[in-house]
Amino acid sequence: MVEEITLLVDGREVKGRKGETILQVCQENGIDVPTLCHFERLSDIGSCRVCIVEIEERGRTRIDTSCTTPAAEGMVVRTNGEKLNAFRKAAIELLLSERNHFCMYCEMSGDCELQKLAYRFGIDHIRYPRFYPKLPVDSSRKYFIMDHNRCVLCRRCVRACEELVGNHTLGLRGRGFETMICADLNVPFGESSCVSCGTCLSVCPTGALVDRRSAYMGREVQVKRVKSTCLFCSVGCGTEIVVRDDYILRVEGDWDAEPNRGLLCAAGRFEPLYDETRARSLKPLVRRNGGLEEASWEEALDLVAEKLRGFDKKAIGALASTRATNETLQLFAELFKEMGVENLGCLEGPITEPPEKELSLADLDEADMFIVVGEDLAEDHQVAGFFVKRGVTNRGARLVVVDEEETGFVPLARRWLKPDEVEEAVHLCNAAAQPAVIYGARAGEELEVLRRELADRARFFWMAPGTNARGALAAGLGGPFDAEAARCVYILACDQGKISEELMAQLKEADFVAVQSSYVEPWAEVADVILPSVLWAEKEGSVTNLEGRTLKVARAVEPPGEVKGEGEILRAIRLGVRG
Amino acid sequence: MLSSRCWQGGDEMPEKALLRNAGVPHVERIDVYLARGGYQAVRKALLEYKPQEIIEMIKRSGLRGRGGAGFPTGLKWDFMPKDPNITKYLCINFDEGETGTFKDRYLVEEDPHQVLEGAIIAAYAVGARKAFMYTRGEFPLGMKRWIKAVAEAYGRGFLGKNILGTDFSLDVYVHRGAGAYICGEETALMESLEGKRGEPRLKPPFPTQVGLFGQPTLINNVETLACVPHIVLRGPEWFASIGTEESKGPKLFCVSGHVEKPGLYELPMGTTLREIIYEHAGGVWEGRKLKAVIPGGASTPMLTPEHLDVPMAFETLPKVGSMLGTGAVIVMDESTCIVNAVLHLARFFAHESCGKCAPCRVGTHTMLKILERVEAGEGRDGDIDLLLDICETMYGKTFCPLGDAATNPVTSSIKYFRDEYEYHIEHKRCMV
Repeated sequence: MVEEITLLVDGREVKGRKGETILQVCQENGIDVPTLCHFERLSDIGSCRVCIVEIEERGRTRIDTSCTTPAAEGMVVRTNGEKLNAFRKAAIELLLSERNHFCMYCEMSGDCELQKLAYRFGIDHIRYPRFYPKLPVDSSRKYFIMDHNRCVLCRRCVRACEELVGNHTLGLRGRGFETMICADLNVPFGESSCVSCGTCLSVCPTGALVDRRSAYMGREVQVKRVKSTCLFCSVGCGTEIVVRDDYILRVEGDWDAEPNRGLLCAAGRFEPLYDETRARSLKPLVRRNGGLEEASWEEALDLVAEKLRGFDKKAIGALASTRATNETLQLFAELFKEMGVENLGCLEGPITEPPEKELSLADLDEADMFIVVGEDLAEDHQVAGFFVKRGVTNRGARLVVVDEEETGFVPLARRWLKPDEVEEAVHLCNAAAQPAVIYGARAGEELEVLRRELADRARFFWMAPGTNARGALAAGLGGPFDAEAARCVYILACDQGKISEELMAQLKEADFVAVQSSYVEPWAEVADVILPSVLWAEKEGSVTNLEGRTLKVARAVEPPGEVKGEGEILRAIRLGVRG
Repeated sequence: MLSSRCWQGGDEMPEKALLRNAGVPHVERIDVYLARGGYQAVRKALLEYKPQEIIEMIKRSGLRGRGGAGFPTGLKWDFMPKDPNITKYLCINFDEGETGTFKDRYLVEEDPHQVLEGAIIAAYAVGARKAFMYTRGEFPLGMKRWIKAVAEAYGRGFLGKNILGTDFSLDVYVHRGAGAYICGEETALMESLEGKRGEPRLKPPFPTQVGLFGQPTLINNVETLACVPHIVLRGPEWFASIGTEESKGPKLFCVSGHVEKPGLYELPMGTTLREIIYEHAGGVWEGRKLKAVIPGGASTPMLTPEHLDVPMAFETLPKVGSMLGTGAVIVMDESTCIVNAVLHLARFFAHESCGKCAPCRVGTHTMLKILERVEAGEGRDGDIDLLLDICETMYGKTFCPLGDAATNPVTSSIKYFRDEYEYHIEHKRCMV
């Protein structure tokens, strides 16, 4: 039970909890204290001094930053006053005079926290001399740029990189007026240890960090934010898709969402918008005379239904990508099961049902030892990797990698063990109070050893393959797929582009292949019919993440062209098959 | 070398303590130091007193920190947790960077064993088994002599395991700073010792709760520790009999600037500025008149001849709007351009601001730029008020006291010598 405390803020009696800062108490009680370097999810450092308040305690009055001062019983706090506001105004003016802050040319104008403060304190000119320092713009990063001219050195980016991501790429160089944000030992950002997760970008209060794609494309009042779930791995990060005029500007992490709490990785934040170069499938395509030609929906659906009716049930196979929603996967399984088709599977390969029905990634923040088995958290499930990274680099938790391959986490690890040395990991675990075993698809026998030896002591975290692996398992699609037996194959591909060569080769041998896909590639060569289907931001429904948590997927933009929803297509096929 | 030419304290105080060994050849060597009665204090403290008794002794002596803030030393020692199972550390603050101050440098370079003795007693009193000497990077001789002194002390059993056959053990580590004034601030020093960027930490928690590497840490200035052996040997009553009501004991005053005999003087706390400057330091040089004096190092507000009779003590200087600081008396004669002198101090503070908090980072730089233009005869109307405006913005509102310190020379000089600033702006040149 947390002790409740009572404070007098601006003459009003307010309640808070022991351990909270004055700022937290004020915010919970609807008292607006201006801030700049403060960011809710980051530790407070009191560097901008804008949130200073007058504190009266035990007969003594002092001025201190509300973000760093713990609230105490009986404190008298004044958040407003001529002197305080004069100081705040001067402090903001000094910041504005420091570097090249010219709002009318700035991408963040309208959404900038520094600018808002300037308006709030009525700053219409700057009384201090300006320095016009010649500062660089670092555009060496692929997805966003760093403009030092707009930087106010609040260090939110540094703290985010360190505290939330555990990456410790960002830091500071120089001192006093020469202080600059830098990456690693002052290398260009693009050549640094940066993993492009974009967390720094999302916490920057000014136009110092700017997303390349959405720069100058719209201010907050002109955009729509749609809360959804990232579909690019099984962590199931909560996102906010930022849209203007049916065009996706960028994807941001949802700070209120579990399990990611605002974090995203490059694969979810940037890659879908920057790196996807495949052509959308906008109209149904049907193979005629050896080539794919545009066709009407009716014609394409009729052809698919006819083939599904015509082939022997044993010769029909159906594959679904785990990027589909729970609803789609259920419908998909129902459709083929009622047709009598038994050869069903996942496009990304078979999924082994884990013993853990539910787990919570938040528990990783408690672990004092991580054993990562058969999984490269630097490549896959990166946000889960951030939990591990921050545990290792900030809390001193130990990391042991058990893997045949040298994964991206090996440099962070205390030991890198080969699978046959797994006993050593068990031994190392003896010193840990809360060990966590994180295992991926490549984990084999060694995982069984760990399960046996650490059953009562360690928590196990399944890094589910694909995206909606639990949804696929629930729909009964986790089993092996017999590609050779399938002469007629129906594929619910979503936007999946990574298909094993083996499967592709087998599909080439099939008599008929129908693909329901957002993109033409990589299906142009093997498909007989391509049905244009919605993309991640056009879907609606839910997915179940690796924790077993059901997460909402919301439609942020309308599907283009003749693209139809996943369920809509499946229902049409069902009708066609039933005749 | 500083020692022979500058040091003047030999004849000034009949019963010298801190400078007891001044002028003794090679007293930095343990044999010479021992021959002069060295390490008797360690022997007495470790063999005759319990740790808590030492703390009480220091409390009774009235010793206050000599690094500038003047916090009661015994009280700080008593803040350290008493649980013997908690790892505790001692930090020796030898990052003497305050402009005009050269007392710690002298102590470590010329009489390192005296400081080491104080450190051993302090570590014993608070139960620290590891002591870290944070040396200013620009003090190679002090560093060299300290390392040698530590090695000698290990050799004679004053450091290491089971010192003097007791169950008290102590190891001393030496760390060299990389040239940042801010690292003299206790928490910035600890950040730097931990290998991080030298920037002050949030307080609370104070170092005695969460200090170096997250452990309770006692941090004391070199001169403070140098006082300790004398308190142990001569008794706290002796120490408390020297000085004023609230400032006890002998103090090292570093006199520099326009005096006949600049140097280091050991005098009782509460000695007046007049006595220090005119009786001990030989008065203002070349028969000139005194214009201004900074009583306690660059960060203390300057005073004028009318304040000469103020006793140099923690409680008396604030009454005339200044501070004792480190006791570094900087004397300026009538030929001094105050604007130019303040410009130099402003440059120092702008250079040394760590950059963590915005008002200090930008404020110190802005003040420097304004002072530069005023000094160069390019000042504008309103520049004086602008300087005061920035000082008002910074004072008491920056993250650490460096911001306050940076305003002190500016506000105090404008208070006493506003006409000089005005002359600079109006006539585009200096009046002196």
